[in-house]
Amino acid sequence: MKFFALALRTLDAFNQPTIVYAHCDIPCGIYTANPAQVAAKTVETMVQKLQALEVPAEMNDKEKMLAYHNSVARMVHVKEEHAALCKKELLILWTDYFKEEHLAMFPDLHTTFWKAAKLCSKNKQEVNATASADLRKAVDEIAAMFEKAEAMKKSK
Amino acid sequence: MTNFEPLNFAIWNFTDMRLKITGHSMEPTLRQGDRVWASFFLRKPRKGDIVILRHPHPLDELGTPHRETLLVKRIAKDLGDERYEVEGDNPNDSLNIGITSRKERNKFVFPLRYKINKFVFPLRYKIIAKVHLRYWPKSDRRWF
Repeated sequence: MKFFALALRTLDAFNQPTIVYAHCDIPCGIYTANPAQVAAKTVETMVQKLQALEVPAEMNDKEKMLAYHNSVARMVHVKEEHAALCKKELLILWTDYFKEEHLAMFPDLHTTFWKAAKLCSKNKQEVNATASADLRKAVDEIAAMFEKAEAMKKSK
Repeated sequence: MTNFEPLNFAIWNFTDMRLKITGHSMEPTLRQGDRVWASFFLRKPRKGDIVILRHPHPLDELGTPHRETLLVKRIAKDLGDERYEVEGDNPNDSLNIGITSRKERNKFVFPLRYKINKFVFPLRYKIIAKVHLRYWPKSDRRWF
């Protein structure tokens, strides 16, 4: 059966084998709340910038209108992306990092995460200063929870 | 597995299931970077078989295809009714993924069946293949 193995190795030269994972999740155990915080702050800043952006006075000035639309599109794009990123990072913390033992420490853990995730979606739907500020506060709260849980893990 | 066109699907599943290991949960049997040849089961899976598993859900919450994520594990226990418990060989680097199955039984993929039976099927990793041969590295050829 040497030749069969040889044939497989030859095939590999033309066509890469499929990746198969010898783990179920990334078992690196590296968790941090920073990406979510940065994303939430970005969303807040984008909302502020969008609201501060002035509409050009003359609608007929093509160059100014183009510049305006370009800015709006770029800011909305960044806002959208970072709200999605924030949600993703929050869900990783919620589903992977926090365990049942943390529920005793933070009884409202599920509600906090659920509301924060909903706020991410709301920030995608709207350009809303209150919602973005709420999101940043919620994520900061979650980061504080994360720090507390980490501190407890170290003190054990 | 890159797509589900019938022809490609058949070729990949029956003749050309070459796989490259990533991760350490099957050490020392299979190490990172090893390449193995797998095929569909000709007999019933048994305790001790090294198997390839597919994620039960087609997409994750952000729309990334889960179906393309394949896992390699060893059967630890036969629970009957085509259900199996699986584990990695390396206890330090292996998470529990629960009971796996040979049958495709979940409501997300077959909503019709779910409705007819009025029974909630749990999400289970599906056993799709058995690992037969390690053909890479060259000096470490081994049949399983």
